[in-house]
Amino acid sequence: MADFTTIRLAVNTGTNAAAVWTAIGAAATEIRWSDVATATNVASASWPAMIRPAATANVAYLYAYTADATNLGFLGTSTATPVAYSNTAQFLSQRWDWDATGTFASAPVFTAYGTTAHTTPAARGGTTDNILSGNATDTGATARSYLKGNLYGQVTSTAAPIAAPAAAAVVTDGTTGSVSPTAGANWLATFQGLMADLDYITFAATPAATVANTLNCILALFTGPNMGPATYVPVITLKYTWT
Amino acid sequence: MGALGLLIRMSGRSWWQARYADGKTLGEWDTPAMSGILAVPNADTWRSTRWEDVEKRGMIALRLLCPNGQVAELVTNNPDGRFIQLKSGGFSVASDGNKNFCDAHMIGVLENDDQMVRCWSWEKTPHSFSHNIETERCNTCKLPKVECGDGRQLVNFMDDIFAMRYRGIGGLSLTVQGVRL
Repeated sequence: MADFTTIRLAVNTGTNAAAVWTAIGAAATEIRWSDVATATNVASASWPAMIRPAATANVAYLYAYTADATNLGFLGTSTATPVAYSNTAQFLSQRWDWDATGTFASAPVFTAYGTTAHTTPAARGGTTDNILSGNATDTGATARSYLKGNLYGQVTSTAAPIAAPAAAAVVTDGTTGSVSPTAGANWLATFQGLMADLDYITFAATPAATVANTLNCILALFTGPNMGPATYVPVITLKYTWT
Repeated sequence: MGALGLLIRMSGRSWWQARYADGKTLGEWDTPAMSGILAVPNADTWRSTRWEDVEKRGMIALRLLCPNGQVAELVTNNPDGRFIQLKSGGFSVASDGNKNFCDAHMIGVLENDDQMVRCWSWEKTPHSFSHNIETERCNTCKLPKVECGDGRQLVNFMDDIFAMRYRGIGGLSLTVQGVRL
């Protein structure tokens, strides 16, 4: 069988120095973003709403949930309360894991969709349901996704990252189409907007066949005065081919 | 419809079958890892034999057997590593649970001596199940409701093996495909 039995997105609820990786994505397990540091063990139906800001801003706090009202911890820290996102504090915050049962036929793609229907936004920009399609006023003249990603240029069995990306994510980051980190110990120089099949990140290379491995990535979310009010549940996706 | 055709229809997925110059054939279901799956169909199991381990030398034709009964076949006069076979899909982390998906199964053959590959693909991208109540046409494919296959269709196209535009796949690993250029 050449497909993978297990591919997962894992999150680090420890620190860069002492990582604690846990796979998420099973029923009711997810990453949640909030602008408050007090959303521990909160059911999703009661998740605190964010006030739309007057200026674009990073959504600072990332929580890892393993059940609807069970908080596993906070990304990038082992403290009792989350620490605000920074480029250096959480460079080991997420990673893709895959097992030894499959064979990639091409370099996988890291992106995000609005739902599990995996549809691509009809157009860039907008003022409603636009977490991925962005807004030209908030995220750049060529609208980029409010959700940004970065990816490392080599698998962990070669070497895990030992430093953060050179530049922190900014709200206007993004490049049309595919970008890839330079193969080796390199992050993308700037973050990429994750916009379905319009803007995405392609792995630096096709991973070796039938070898379990991991590859580090980073997610960063922004908001702004032109983001449409909604409950957003973007679907982080690894697109891949297999034999 | 023969027993194999019935099993393929019941499996809900497509399967490849190779034909060699010496007259032998090899089906995806023939390999040990897959033999049980076709015999006990599982529509959600989109896994295959290890294409990278299949003998490519002497392979002169490759078929794609689809669950709607259609069959696509590619042939070559150069039986030395000219075929590709892969599935396209992914893994999504969603608030309602992980989702593994497969939305296309492709076969292809390199034509001439360049990098262009002629492909057939069994697509499996469900349509919205909604239709325009005035026109009675599918809102996704615009076909009349009675003709819409709900995204399941056999398509063909030409693409570049080093930069596949189809579904944004990009360059294929030639080592995995066992392709000789």
